[in-house]
Amino acid sequence: MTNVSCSNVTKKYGRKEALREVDLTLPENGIAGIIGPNGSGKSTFLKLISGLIRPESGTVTINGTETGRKSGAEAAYLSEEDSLYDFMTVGKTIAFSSGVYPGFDRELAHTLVEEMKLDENDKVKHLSRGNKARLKLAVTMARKTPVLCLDEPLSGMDPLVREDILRLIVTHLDVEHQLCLITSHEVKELEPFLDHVLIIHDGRIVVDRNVEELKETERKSLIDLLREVTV
Amino acid sequence: MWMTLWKKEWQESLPRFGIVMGVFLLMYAGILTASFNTSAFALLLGFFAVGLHLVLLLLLWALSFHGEWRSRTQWTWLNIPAPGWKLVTAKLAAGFSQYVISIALLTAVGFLAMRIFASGLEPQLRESIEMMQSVLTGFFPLMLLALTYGAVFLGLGLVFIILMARSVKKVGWVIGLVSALLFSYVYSAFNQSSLYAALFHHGVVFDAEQTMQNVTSGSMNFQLEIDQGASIYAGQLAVEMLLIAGIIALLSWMVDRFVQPS
Amino acid sequence: MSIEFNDYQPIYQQLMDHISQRICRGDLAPGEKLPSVRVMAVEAGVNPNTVSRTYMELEREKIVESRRGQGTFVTEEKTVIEKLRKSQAAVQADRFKSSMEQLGIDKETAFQLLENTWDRNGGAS
Repeated sequence: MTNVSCSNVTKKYGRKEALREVDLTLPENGIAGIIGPNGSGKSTFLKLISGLIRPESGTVTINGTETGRKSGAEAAYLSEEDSLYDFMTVGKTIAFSSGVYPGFDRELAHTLVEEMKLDENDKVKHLSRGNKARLKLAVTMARKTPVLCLDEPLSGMDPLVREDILRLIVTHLDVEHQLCLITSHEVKELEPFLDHVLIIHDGRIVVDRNVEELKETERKSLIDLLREVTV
Repeated sequence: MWMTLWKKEWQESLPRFGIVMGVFLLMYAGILTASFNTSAFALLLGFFAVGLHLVLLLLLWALSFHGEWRSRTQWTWLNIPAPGWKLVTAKLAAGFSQYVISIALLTAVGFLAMRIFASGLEPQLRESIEMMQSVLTGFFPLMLLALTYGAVFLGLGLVFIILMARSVKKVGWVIGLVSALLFSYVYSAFNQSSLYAALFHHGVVFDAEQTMQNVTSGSMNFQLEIDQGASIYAGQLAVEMLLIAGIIALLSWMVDRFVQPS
Repeated sequence: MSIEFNDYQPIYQQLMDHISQRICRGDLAPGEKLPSVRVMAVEAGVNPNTVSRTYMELEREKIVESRRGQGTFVTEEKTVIEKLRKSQAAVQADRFKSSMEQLGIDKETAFQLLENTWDRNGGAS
């Protein structure tokens, strides 16, 4: 079980506040969706939790330790960008990952890559956009970190890739022990997969709820809710 | 962990190192051809090749650090849960090993070219060129050290500026550049001070005067004035190495605490 | 990823209905093993935690039973399945009734319509 907490976190880019006074404790496990309009601070939130950026004030902690550059051991960050090394092959990418991430499940990475029909001898440079996304996710899942921060894993992908990505998460995430944070625009598609939802608007967390409980009491879809809270 | 990182840096930099080596090989072909023809052009090209090695580390290191951002892999690189010094030294070491390879080739070509050059000269002239050759051989360690020292400091300076630019938005590189210049100004003043000499000029490792006497022994028409500072002391070596270690520690600390990917 | 979910009902409830219907239809026979939580999650396109909850709720209603280390099985109690069938039918009947009401059709006409449909399309009487 992992405890991820933000206490009074403010993050600025120049003078612009990307996140304002965020105060919350994330669920200990399961899949949490982070939704909100463009530029609302979703990505900033994930980067703070994985320790890639630091808040101007307040603290982000994972199991009581403040997050920082070495938080990669607890929180894997999957970038929206093509953050794989171009010059490596698929197989080399796995070998490199197993060399730098403690606890990397090499076996699993090979299996996932095979399941998704990637050729280990192909250079990352020559992979299609969808296959890069598949490889990126396979490597991130195989890191087996208690927290996964997936930044827009579905955005810009065709339906087949999106299905593959969601299937990969559902099949290989240990929902009882891992916490998977996903930012997305594809709210409708993501909704059935969520245990928990955070809605960010203008740098503030405006909704922080369990999805089933939300449906039971409010009887509406996340899109409707999103529409209501972001006017 | 470190070996994996080093291997990655090595492989990543191989294509550009290949290009650099290609340029040097062309240059060396030029030097050797010119030497065969006993053309002074060989000397000019030689100086140029040495000069390029002064900025070689700077080029290799800068491209390696800057490359993480250019290829949008900074997220991946900085999410690796290794201490900053491992990330930084893997890059520095990969670049430095390429520098060493290049220097070794330069040395081989340099001495070979001199021999070829000398063999093409008339006997009277040959004696003085052979003298020059032995001076160069005698002073080779000093020159190599000075060149490498300069290359390392220029390189570390630029890496510092790059990391500053990635730590502070917009003005980071200016702050980096100004503080690097300021530091090198202050440090070189200190380097030439009598305090520095009193503190660190102990334990002669390379005695320039003695070397000069050895290589020119007997020859009256070959006397050079040796600057007092041209000798190398163990104390000096130790403190400069310590400084380099300090700068690397600073860079590692910046990667861990200041650099933010964006 | 086959099930279409509506927006206003918790997903575990919709999944419960879906599984219940399959049991009533005989699509999942008494004593048959249900797919593992993960497989069901992938098939249905939902979160594994949701499937766990669904299985738990189904177990609470005695529709399925979980055997330690073996998985979750459809009950072999015919009476439970019969009861389930009745309650599922009652839900559908309620829906039918309210749809007819919305169309302004009275009980008499509705019964007539049902009878016609039955005769025309055939079916168990």
